[in-house]
Amino acid sequence: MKFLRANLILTAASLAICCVFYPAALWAVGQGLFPSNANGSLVTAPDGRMVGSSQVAQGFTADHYFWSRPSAAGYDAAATGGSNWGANNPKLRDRAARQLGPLVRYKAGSRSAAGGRTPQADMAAWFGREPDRASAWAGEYTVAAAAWAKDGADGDTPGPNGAYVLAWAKDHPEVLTDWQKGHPSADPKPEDVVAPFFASFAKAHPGQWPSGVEGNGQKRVEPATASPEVAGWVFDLWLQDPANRDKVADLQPVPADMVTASGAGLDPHITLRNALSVYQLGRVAATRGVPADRLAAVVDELSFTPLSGLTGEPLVNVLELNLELDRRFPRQP
Amino acid sequence: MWFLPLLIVALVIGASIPLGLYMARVLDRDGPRYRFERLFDTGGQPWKRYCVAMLSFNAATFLVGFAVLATQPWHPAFLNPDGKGMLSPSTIFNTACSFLSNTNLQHYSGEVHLSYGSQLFAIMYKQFVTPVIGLAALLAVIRGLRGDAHLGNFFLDLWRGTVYLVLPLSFAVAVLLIAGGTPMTMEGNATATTLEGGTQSIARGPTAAVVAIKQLGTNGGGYFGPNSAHPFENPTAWTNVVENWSILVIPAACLVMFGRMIRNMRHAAVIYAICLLLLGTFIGWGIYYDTMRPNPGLAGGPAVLAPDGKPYALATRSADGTAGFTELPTSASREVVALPIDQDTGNLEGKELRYGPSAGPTWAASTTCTSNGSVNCMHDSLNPLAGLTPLSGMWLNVVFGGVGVGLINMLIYLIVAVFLAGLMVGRTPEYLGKKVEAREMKLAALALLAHPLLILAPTGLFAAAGWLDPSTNNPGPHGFSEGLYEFTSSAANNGSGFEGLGDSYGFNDRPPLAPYGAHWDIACGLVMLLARFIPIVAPIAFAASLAAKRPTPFTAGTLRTDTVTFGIVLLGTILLLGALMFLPVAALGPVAEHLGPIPFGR
Repeated sequence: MKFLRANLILTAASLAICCVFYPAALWAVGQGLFPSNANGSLVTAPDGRMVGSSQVAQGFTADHYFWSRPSAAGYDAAATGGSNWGANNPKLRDRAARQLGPLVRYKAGSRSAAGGRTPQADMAAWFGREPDRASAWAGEYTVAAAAWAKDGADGDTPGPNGAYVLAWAKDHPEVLTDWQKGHPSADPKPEDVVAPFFASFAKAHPGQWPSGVEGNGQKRVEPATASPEVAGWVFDLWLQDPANRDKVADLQPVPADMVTASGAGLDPHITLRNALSVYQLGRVAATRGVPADRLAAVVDELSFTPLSGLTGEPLVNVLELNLELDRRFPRQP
Repeated sequence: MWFLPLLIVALVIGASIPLGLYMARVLDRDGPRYRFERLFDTGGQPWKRYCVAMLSFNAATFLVGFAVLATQPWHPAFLNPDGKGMLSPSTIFNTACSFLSNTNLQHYSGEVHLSYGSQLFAIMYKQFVTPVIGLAALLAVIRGLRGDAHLGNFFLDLWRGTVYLVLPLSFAVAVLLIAGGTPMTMEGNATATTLEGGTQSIARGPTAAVVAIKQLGTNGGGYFGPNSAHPFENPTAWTNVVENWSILVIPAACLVMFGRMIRNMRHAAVIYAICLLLLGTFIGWGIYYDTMRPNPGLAGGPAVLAPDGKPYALATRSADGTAGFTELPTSASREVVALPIDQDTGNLEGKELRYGPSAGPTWAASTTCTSNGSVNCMHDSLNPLAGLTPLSGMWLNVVFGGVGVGLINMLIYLIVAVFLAGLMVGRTPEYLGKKVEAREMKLAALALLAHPLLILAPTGLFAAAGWLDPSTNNPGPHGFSEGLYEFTSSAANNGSGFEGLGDSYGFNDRPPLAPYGAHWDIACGLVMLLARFIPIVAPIAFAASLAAKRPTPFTAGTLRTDTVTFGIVLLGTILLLGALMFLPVAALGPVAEHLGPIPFGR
């Protein structure tokens, strides 16, 4: 009985103090002394609209902006998270390779870059040189191939790639033979039969790739030679071919933060060397028509080193940087 | 790179000494001091009554938490501005157990699943009282070891620990966090129009209040899903230092308080030194394998060949029992060319840039040596061997440990060390002037063996029953590590995770996200409760049993517990027992992944 009374008094008292007075006092301090911080460091553009939080990354894909780090959460600030992929997970390497393939460049002045050649053109040419590269790729990069088949799928409705695989399988029964042995009564999903699909596809269209084309507002898939899409998917395979060793050595490495996802998927910063690299500064300067050195000066101005300069390397806040660019170098409409 | 961990550890040492002395002064008082304390003081309690009082308060806390979570859809609008719905029953059970046991394992994601009311009245309430319950248990154990007539009064200990220790410290830390950029608002999500014209819904809330006590009380349950890797929970490198300091400071101060209460500072100093040594080792190991090494998944590697220079083949046995070999595809054995990525800052997958490069491993070691369990990088994406840092911190579970309970766990190892040393010299072992005999050793062994049993048995069960494999987010040994980590974290009352594991059942009214979410909810809930209360009640009984004995006089033959020699014996005992219990699973998980083919299984 005494215990019951003591428990009641203590529960009530601690609830009142810890869950009412304590947060109320903090709320008062926050709203009184640090109102901007306490409400989420929201940022308004010069035209007055609220464009985000300076603490929270947002996705940038336009060429005239600096890009944030990749986000495993799709920059969704209401459902955050990291990739949680370990080093041994093929998805991690595939994601980085897919991102790198279309944008990687040769070092300026290197032998491979002579005559304006690009890795993407070399990859497409290399892909077309052998008839069955697509089949070799799908056989080895099983996880990436399954991702290709699932690309754009919405729940059980397949995306354009998946629909193409299923349509192909109707005309080419050899695609389904192996799978049906194991699953006599079920219908396969595109990703289940993607390896035999690519084998059959490579026989019918040697040296080609099932590429997405836009037409009539819809995405269709068609066999195409030297498709630019190839670079994203087969980059790692190209990298591993000993015949390309010299070209691989001439690739300009990207800073690690450009291809790694942060813990919450909302890291608002990139490293200064990422911003100043040819992969970011060069692109932004060209699309905005601003000399690279003037742009670099602005980036430098906004950079800072964590812990008041005591640890790590200089960083720059992407949203603040892009706002500053819009202010200083407005784009001609 | 080494400056950040050194700064944090130095700040912890500097603050823990005055804080520990202060704790001994305000917490170790006999009887009530003023009228309000007299209201609930039920007098000095022998060990059984102390335990009953403690368990009764736990039951009350469990009810409060369960009731708040289970009524979430009906919370008033200012406590639920974003209209969060009903959680699944197994998630409510798991969460109520998790926060009751000071584990803070989260099978939900704060910003997705919880209302502000649940965050404040279920989550934060337990984050305040459960560390103090651990601290009260420690006070009781120390009073027993000291030979007091009774173990004190649980209700007084709880009250004083809350209002004189965790509350003022939390307030100070929370103000620092707000100054650094952590939100403290009751407004709902903010909707922004991004520069490129999209919309972004930004979750916020009374974050600073929760984060401060989350760190100080070795709780670790984040306000947001990604915990202190989220820019609102941990906005700058300075808040990172403050939070990392908060993780360690009270557990370290408990050791100082212990020394003061038993009037043997040298003995406490020996334990403190061993904890520092182990913490430093874990931090160093993590930095060496994670910050100073590239992510091997993105890097290249040599060909994987057998000693005879040929590729490995897979040994198989056909249906009729004949053995044979299957050749692996050449991609499994050939040299891997690195992707063109500059990885001189170490592994950045799952890391934030703003804390500095070594902040992730430093935090990973701090949060698992103590039973905190918050994270500032994704442990799932640590390099394979660096993943051993958080795992071994939790396997030992004594390096400073949780508030109060960490030192209790250490006392178990101390008794075993004293016992081993006693056997070696052929004398009845003694600790603090009392003979340690069969009854005490049985209680110590019970508390000691509960830990590996609660980790290895359910991990084995889930692996054998086929519940583990479909839940994992990563292939091969890393997937096994995810399940192992989940139960390790539950049994160590830690609460961090290899968060890729599919354990979130989430809302009640949506299709299940994870195939075995309810299995994980219930199994981890039970493990957390057992792992919390066995190692608290057994040592209290043990201390009470010592208290009842007559002190033996201190002679030249007495084993001294305040010397370097004893420190080495204690360290050896910890490492030996830890290795015996957990080396085999370490080999199956992180070590196999490190040796493994990377990437695995494509």
